[in-house]
Amino acid sequence: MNRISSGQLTCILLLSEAFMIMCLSADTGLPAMAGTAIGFGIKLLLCIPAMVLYKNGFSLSSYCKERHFVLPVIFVLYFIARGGISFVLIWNSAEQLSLPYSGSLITAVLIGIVCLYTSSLGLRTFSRAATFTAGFLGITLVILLIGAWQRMDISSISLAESSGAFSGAVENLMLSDSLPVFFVLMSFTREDRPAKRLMFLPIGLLLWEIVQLLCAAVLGGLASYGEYPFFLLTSVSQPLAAQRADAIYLIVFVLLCTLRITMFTVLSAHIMGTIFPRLKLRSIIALLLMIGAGTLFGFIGYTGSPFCILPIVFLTFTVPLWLLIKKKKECRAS
Amino acid sequence: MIKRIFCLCAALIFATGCTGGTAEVRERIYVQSAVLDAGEYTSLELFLFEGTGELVEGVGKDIFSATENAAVRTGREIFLGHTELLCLKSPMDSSGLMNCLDEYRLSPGCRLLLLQGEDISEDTDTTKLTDSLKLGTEKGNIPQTDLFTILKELQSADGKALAPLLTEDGISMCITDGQNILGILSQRATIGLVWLRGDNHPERITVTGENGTESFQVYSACTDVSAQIIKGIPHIKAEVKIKGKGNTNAACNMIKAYCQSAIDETAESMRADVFGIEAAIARDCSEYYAQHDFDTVMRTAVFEIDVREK
Amino acid sequence: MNDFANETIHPDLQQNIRRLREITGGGSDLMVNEFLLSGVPAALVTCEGMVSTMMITELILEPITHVDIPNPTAERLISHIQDRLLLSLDRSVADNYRDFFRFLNSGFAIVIIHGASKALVFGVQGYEKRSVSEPSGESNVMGAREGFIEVIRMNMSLVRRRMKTPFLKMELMPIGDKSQTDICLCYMYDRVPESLVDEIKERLNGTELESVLSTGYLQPFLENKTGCLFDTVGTTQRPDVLCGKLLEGRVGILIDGIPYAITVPKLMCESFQTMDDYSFRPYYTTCIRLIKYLAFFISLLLPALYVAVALHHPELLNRTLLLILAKAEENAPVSLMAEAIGVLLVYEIVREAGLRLPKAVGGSVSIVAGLIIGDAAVSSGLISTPMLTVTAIAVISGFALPDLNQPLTVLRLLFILAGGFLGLFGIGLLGSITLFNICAGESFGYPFTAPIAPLRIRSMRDVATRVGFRTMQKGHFTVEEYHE
Repeated sequence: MNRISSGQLTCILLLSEAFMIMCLSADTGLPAMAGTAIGFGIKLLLCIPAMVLYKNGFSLSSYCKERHFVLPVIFVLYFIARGGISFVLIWNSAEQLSLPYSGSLITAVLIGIVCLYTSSLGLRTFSRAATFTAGFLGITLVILLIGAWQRMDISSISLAESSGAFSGAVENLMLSDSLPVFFVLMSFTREDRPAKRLMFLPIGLLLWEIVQLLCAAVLGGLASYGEYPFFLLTSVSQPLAAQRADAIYLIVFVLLCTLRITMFTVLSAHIMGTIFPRLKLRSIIALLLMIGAGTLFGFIGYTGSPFCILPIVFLTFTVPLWLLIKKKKECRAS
Repeated sequence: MIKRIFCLCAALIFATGCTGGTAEVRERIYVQSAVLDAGEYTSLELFLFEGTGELVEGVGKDIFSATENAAVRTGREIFLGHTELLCLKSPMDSSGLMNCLDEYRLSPGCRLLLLQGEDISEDTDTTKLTDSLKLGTEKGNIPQTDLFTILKELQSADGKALAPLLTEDGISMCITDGQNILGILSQRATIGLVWLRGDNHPERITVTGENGTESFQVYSACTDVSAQIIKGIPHIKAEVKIKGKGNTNAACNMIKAYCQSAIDETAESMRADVFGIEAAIARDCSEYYAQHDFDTVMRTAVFEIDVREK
Repeated sequence: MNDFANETIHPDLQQNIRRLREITGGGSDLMVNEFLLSGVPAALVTCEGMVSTMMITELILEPITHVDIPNPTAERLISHIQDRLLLSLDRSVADNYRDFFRFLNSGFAIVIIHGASKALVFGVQGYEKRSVSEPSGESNVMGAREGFIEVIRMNMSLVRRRMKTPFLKMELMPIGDKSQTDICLCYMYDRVPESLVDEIKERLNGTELESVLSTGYLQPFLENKTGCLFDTVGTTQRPDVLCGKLLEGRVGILIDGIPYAITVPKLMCESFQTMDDYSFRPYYTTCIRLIKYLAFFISLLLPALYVAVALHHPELLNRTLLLILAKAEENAPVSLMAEAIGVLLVYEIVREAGLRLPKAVGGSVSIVAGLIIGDAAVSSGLISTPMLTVTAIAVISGFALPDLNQPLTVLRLLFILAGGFLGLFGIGLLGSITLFNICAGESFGYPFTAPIAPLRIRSMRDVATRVGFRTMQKGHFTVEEYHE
């Protein structure tokens, strides 16, 4: 039985957030930080129906086994689409990295190949790997803080360009694809206090705010110069005396990319397994579909729009709410 | 099955040689300092770490082709990642500096030195030049500047930055807009900027008091630049607080005089923001900042200096 | 020839002896001494060199030849010997030839009596054995100096001497079609779930091995089929270590003829623990533990990081270090990556040569390798000094963790390839694969990475740190807590 702890759930979702932070192309000023906080507040509200639903004994696996195909298929499609977008994000952001070869497509391809292996090992292995990676992420954050400390200038925060709190909140919600993942992963999480299961929200918020604050305080007006403020931040923060140290972050970036793609592949493969139990090589199929979606999104140059919020709200809020109402009605009828 | 496919893909990647072609350690030359002349043709003079006085030259249409040219001349790849000093014969704009940071892996801590008329020849000891810049900064004789700080200042609203300049008399500070050198600062203004920027104050200063010339030992110092709108006019206040041993009053008066010179020569005469004026207005008077363009702010701003004991 | 297995013992003595000779093919180590037991023909069957002649004479031959009962028959003689004579402490009865030969070849003396379809078995083992000595592979400073030897019963006694509780259960069972090797399952039955013991037994009984000549024969049957590079089954040479593991709810397996015990389940953190950790003061142990974790990463990644940074990310290197490296590499005939792989391969060859050769010659291998090859290679410029230093540091760091030597050796080479081709990006990729591979390691549902992943804060007291025994004694810890 695939069961994960609340801590592992937190790690998985946190790493997904960390990946989005690395590929961040959002504003970094104070209003943007306020927007991020609002965004996380909204996320908390969106999680409530799912929490109540699981408290009432709902299980996604059992639901899928009851020959309900539509909802699982929607989830699979969503995960494949998000996996595809993740590939495009890797492809795009790889241009900012100091890689020993030219051409960022090969980065996405290599990560895809690695995911072929990692996703074949299942959810339990994935969740354990997430715990370790969360540790590495913590260490990286400390290195980043040490490096940025010397360059930090609090007065620069006011110079960081920002299009406002509302825009910040919308942008943060656009990147909240961890919420549908949360809904699905709750099905595999051991019974625990709701506060423990929702721990990824405050920690995620803290992570976002720290990075945004660092970007604003170190880069100031320069933050808007590069497409990816995080990578610009790593290239100017120097934990080592005279050398630049942005290459250090490559390792954690690769780990985050692998975990992110593996997460969508494992979940898609698992749901596919509940719909089509006889289907073999599910993780390969899911990964290939993701690469296909990634190629399509890359071709049309799509990585996200405010419309991304709609499926997130649908899958995290509307669906659980509908299932909850349906369950209540069934209870009353019986 | 999955493992077999994975192994096959991994083997293909390595076997097809997609990853080869990297220069060996011995096939590179490591540049200590570079002199860049981005005129009609870009010429690059590279001083290497290994072998004293070794100079490699390259010419091209841009930095890239000049570097390639230098590489072809030496028969080795050029690595600029450890460049300690970048000398510019003519100022470079922010996109050019950003390019150096991105493309040539230059350290953000690399020091920049503008050359005006002065030439750096094969006989010039660039290491000595780097060390004087480093020591000058450490001792608090010149304000702290490097590639990153200059880039950040050029990217600010006024587009002007403080940069070191090599003159006949040695290293001075100047104001540049990325295209031209707008003015060279006096020794007093340079010291004043050290205090106004607050990054690297000197440990000891010589003051003239009632008892004549004496030494004042600075334990700590901090600078705070704040802004206030009074009757529609921005008032910028630079507050320097010092703590030390010696004649504090004399020290405060002297620092104030230096700071005044710095303000006169930078903000007042060249409308250059080189000690956080924009940040102070954006922070303290955000509405005013949003409504007015920075040039107007600099034209109308009134400056005030307050130097006192902590 | 294998049809004797379930064949019952022939009641006719002569036919029985003939059958024994037939089964053994007239082997010269089968010793049959015929005599009259209270007037009934009988024979004492032993295997040459496996029994103690003195014990047989004093404990069996002397009393048995004095047996004199009225109206003797085979059945009456057997019951007389079984009920009235205590000829040996280790007594049993063999009904078929399979058991007969298992006892015979384990050093038992067997009495067969004309007319009886069973044989009396007496434990009088007297074969040559190594005395209990300090284990060569798991030396320590303040712990016991006793290590397991090749005799299973002696090993069982070494464990029992340290654990006098009746809750320690030892179950003997034979494994191996031809070797019929005795293995002993040891566990604290109050701490190990029955399901775990049953599953281990099931897996061991399911083996179709002909013999068990080392722990490696059984290990694959106790591991999960996840292809984990690291051992998910532990081994130890020390009875005190085994006792410690039994107390934590693990199952130990002793194998006759092998001076090692297998322990299941194994966790990765065990590779960083030694018996001395519990003898030294906690702060020192904690410090040593952290150094060992560092040594693990150094051993695994240092040469790869060196190659990756020097080739692809020289900006990360300190300026002075980079210049030293560039100067040292000036005359190197091969690429940095080839140099690193070459040095490691040479080291592995030297290690293997030193290990397999007789000890007297083994020492000279180190001299030839270290002084002659090493010095000559550096002076001739074939290998640079920084590279040799980096490789030596990595290899020495690996020595701090002998348990992880096998995966470290292979992974070190793979990481050099990844770092050499793809720089830190390659190291990140291979790091991901390795991380997932380690996380996939599981033995009987116990994650190899516990208690770090899944994280159990309470159990961290003996992982990254080692708390004092005042704290340690509170709350009995068993690995069952980690079961997923």
